[in-house]
Amino acid sequence: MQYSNTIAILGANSEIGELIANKIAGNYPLLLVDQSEEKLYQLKQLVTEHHPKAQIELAVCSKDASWEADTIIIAANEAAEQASIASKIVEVTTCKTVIQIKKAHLDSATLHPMLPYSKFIAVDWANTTAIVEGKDENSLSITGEIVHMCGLKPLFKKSLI
Amino acid sequence: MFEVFFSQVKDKVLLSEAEQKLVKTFFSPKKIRKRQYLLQEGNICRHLAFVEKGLLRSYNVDDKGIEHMIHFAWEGWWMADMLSFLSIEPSTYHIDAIEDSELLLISRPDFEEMLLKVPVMERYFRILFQNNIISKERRLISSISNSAEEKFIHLSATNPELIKRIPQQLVASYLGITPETLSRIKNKLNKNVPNT
Repeated sequence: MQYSNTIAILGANSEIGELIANKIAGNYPLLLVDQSEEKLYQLKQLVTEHHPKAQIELAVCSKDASWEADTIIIAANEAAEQASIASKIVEVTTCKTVIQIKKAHLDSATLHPMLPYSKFIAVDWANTTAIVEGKDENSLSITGEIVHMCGLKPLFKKSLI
Repeated sequence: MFEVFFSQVKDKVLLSEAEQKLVKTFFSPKKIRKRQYLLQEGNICRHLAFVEKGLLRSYNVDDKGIEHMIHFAWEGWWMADMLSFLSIEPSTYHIDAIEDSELLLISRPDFEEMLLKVPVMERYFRILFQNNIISKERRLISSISNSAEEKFIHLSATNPELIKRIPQQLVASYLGITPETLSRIKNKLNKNVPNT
């Protein structure tokens, strides 16, 4: 099948989550996921001001959104929150691209062992560049495109795991 | 998430616990909403889809904009444009969801790898493809040699679920007749049913 690549942003109300939503809306159908529905609604309003035709759905359940999405971005701020999200979505991410956003200051372990059957990509997010590391060629390419849309230069690192 | 799938597989072949676990790693669970496309004409069909829940249809659209139903798939059925999937050529079909659906998708590379690692699945797909060929032959024969009424009677006998579940205008299109003709046939057959 060939369908629009729906992207779920888990932790959409985080600083990077909001940035990604703003930059990629209009190019992909989006599912914005976080705990606060009110903040999600505000984010949707903000994004649709710039991208009136953007397809955006809101959700509070990470699992349901990841089930529907083709690509999943884990953009939550805290490492513990990221791990909690990973534990909830493991069942529905098999063979899907999962992108973990790791901020430079965030001492977060890779979520890959928690999502062993996903096409896992880790992104070290800095101010002007992002190191994009993973194994699957197509997932690396999608992630590079997203990073580029966000105004960062992707530096690819092919991992063997 | 895999309940219907393994129940259907086990009807045809035996899978060990370890094989089931391995098979699961090749499938991507996917939810789609009513009217959402899985495949659009001109794109390459890159996945086979198994329907765990919901209802899909495949169809093409002629120069006049009229839709012609090719296939329907609900719980326990597979959906794909096999010609496009196997030949890696652009599809001439659209595939979309008639109801909100839960699917299991498998890509061509994952499909090949699964058949290598779990040979019993090769047998499962051989049985499936044999049944598919038989079904297509029957439909072809019916479409060229049966009257509209005979086609409907045959479909009602072989696939009552389709008649019950699919909107009538889509059933008519599937049979290659107009909705008005289908309605007339159904009325005629209903009148012929003796009162009990």
